[in-house]
Amino acid sequence: MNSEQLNDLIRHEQQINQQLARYGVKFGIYKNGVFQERLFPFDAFPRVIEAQEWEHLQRGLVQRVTALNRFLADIYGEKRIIADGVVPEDFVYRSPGYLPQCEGITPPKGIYSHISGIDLVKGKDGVWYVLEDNLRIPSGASYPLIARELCRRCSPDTFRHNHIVDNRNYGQLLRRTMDSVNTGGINVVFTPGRYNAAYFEHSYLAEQAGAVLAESGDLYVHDSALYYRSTHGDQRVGAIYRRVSDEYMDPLCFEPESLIGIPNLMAAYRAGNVAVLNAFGNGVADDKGIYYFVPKMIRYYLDEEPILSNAPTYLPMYPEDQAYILDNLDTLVIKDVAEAGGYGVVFGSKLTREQLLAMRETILAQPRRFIAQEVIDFQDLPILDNGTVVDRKADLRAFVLSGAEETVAWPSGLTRFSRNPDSFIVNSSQGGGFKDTWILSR
Amino acid sequence: MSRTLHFQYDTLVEFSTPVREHAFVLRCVPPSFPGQEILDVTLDLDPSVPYARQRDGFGNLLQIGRANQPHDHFRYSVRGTARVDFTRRRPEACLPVFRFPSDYTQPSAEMTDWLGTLSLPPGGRERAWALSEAVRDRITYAPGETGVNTTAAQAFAAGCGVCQDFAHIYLSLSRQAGLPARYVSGLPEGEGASHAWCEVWLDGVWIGIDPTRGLRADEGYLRFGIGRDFGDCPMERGVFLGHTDQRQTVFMRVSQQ
Amino acid sequence: MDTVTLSKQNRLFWLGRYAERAYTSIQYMLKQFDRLIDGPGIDYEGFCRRMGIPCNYDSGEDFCRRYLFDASSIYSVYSNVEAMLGNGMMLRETITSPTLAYLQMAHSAMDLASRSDAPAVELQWVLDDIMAFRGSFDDSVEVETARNITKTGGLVERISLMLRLDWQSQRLDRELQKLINRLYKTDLTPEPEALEVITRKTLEGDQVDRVLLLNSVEGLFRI
Repeated sequence: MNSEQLNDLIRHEQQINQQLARYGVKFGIYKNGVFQERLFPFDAFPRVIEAQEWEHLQRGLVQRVTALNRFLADIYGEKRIIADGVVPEDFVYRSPGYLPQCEGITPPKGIYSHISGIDLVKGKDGVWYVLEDNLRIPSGASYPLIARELCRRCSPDTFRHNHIVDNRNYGQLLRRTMDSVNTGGINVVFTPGRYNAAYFEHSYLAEQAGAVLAESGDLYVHDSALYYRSTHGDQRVGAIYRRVSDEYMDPLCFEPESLIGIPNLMAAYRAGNVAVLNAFGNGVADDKGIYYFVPKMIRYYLDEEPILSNAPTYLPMYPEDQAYILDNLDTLVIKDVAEAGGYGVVFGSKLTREQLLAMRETILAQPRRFIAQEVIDFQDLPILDNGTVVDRKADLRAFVLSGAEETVAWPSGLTRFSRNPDSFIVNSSQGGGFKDTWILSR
Repeated sequence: MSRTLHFQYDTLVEFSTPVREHAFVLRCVPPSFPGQEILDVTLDLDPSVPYARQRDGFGNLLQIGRANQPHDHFRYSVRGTARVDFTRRRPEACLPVFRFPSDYTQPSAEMTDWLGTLSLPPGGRERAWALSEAVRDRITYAPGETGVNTTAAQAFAAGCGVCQDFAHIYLSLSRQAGLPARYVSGLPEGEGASHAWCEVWLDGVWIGIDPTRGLRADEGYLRFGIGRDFGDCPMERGVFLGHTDQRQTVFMRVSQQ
Repeated sequence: MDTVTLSKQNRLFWLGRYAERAYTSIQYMLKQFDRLIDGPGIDYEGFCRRMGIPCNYDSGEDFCRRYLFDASSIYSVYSNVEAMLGNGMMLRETITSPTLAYLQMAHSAMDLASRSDAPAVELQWVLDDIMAFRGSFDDSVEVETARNITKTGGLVERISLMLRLDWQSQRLDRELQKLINRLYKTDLTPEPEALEVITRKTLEGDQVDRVLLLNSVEGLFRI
């Protein structure tokens, strides 16, 4: 890479952030019960992925998501993987993400996870490790999407002289994915509303994909089909990209108190009259416990060796693993499978003696509740912090889109970094910012 | 001995002020399956709106619809004839979820401890009945003390409840004791209100046990819905626009021909 | 896409009203700022009365600052700009991101003005951004009814402010005329009695009581 041009890009960092502010690129958080919108700070040093490296990554991502989709179809259908003893049944049926309401329902074109967000880190050993699969409503694609557009404006030379794969086709990819499963009707993006953390993304992706942004009052189910209330007569909806969790989507099937859902959406879905992106019940496949079994799924369903590595993971429910965990508690990271968004993650090295003993007791009492992982010593990336270049932890959320004809990895992704030098947690709800992710074309 | 049962089930929901955009899901039509054959059945809705028929993941029959116009009552009336014949029952597979705790049946420490104090016999069938007796000894039938949202753990702590609570407590304990079990909503022979009981999977066959009454659910029990717990198979669920008070009147009758 | 939901119709209408209210209020307040320089106080009590808002200001200066920038008051121009942006945010895929960016910029300029010693400069930027918003809106919103709903909202607001504040009243007849022409190009349903009053005044040149006219303009749509 040409460092002169990179410097040009870095020099324009403030300008890029001003542009991001101009376009209202924000995420919302609730602090002390009050909703606030914050700018998502952008750091101009890109994460650079070489062409060959991406080739490897994207094959691994497609393989992984293909196997996860097969797993979901199996769990809500024949359940072969359980019968064959590859995945223990209690990992499936005790998972809060497993929804028996979805038993026997085949979604349009048989796809469950249309938009998958796979979180990876690159170790100091140069190996990419998958840390987490997000198959419900992974967010974040809109940020690098708009950032690229603005970086090109602020520093055209950088993009003229580096061979960077254009990532601005995400809207078209999303549209193609929606169209390919659409059962006849318009595409809508369903948002819980303006006071949602990812509202910017909902509205931006609706615009980019040429879909209609809708809230619960705009949609209703009639005769097992979903409709959009329009001033020119009501229109049939063929695909709904919903940005609301399963339990709030249909008060007549899931959480009865939900006010933001669409009554009887499940009836339209069950009848095959609308594609729901992503399908209901996907939580069973992106559980922190199920993660352990993903490499096994790849071998089981695809008869292939996994291309991407999992972080070495141990399950306290297996006696050998349990012994190892208890012996090495002070070096492992312990994750509570029921928590999300960077919560429920504990680093053994940060615990006092008493806390370690308490953790040990908790694990022994509830072995199914936790997984333990080796701490991956991942590569730091440079960021500009008050004018000085410093190294910080960063991860990558890669987006994989699965339509009726193809599963493709978006040649980009959301690179998030932690502002805090000691923190491994890069979730945007806990501070931190993001970077552009360049895939080099040669 | 098979029985031919006439059944009638009427529910009237009255609203103090009219409601509109009323979406509903009913599970008020009993399905046919080996052992229970529905010979004829009619469903009348008032307001008379069209409805779709579907089956949920448990095989329950759903009647799904929407009354858009303002209305001050909602009535559904089911009438029909069923033949219940246990000699026609066949071994069935068990959905694995019936082995695990669900929202309403999550056991409390108190329940687990209590289960540990019982000396249950080893055989599945004997164990299932012993557990039913134990629950009946421990819990008092007391209408009005619990509500539709009461969990097994709450009812167990209170020591009382109605048929729904007996069923939830029983399910929670039997699943912990290694017996797959499911919730059943339906109508037993007689008159009054709808009822809830349990089915336990014994030697591949679902056997009805009524822990409220301490009886086998015999051929006089007409099954409407099954699920992990009440939340999976309520007879009626609805949402509508309007601030209103609701009053519900239920009448049912099941009699032998 | 040629689809406008009822909830979008509502937001488009209010987007027009809030943008107009921000624009006219700031213009009006710039005049008040100028007046303060020469000493004689301004009649903020009368202003509050005519606008029908509570008057809890201590002085002309206090009024100028807080009526403009008090984010905690729903009557302030600041809150009005927030509401304008909020409605715009809910309409991104209808009005497009570039158009929405001008509302975001107006909001940022309002923030800057609230921290400025001489806010008239930044307030001018707010006006610039709203003007740019109008141009971009006109240019990029393809659904004609959507464009007309927002413009109708703007006209309702402008006429309402003219009548309340007795502001630029020489333009009143022309604005009423524009409203009548515009509303037939929307699929909004006007209230018949209110429409009758406005038509009588506009097309037949009848004298109509100011309060009746104001109520008719405000009550023209149940939205």
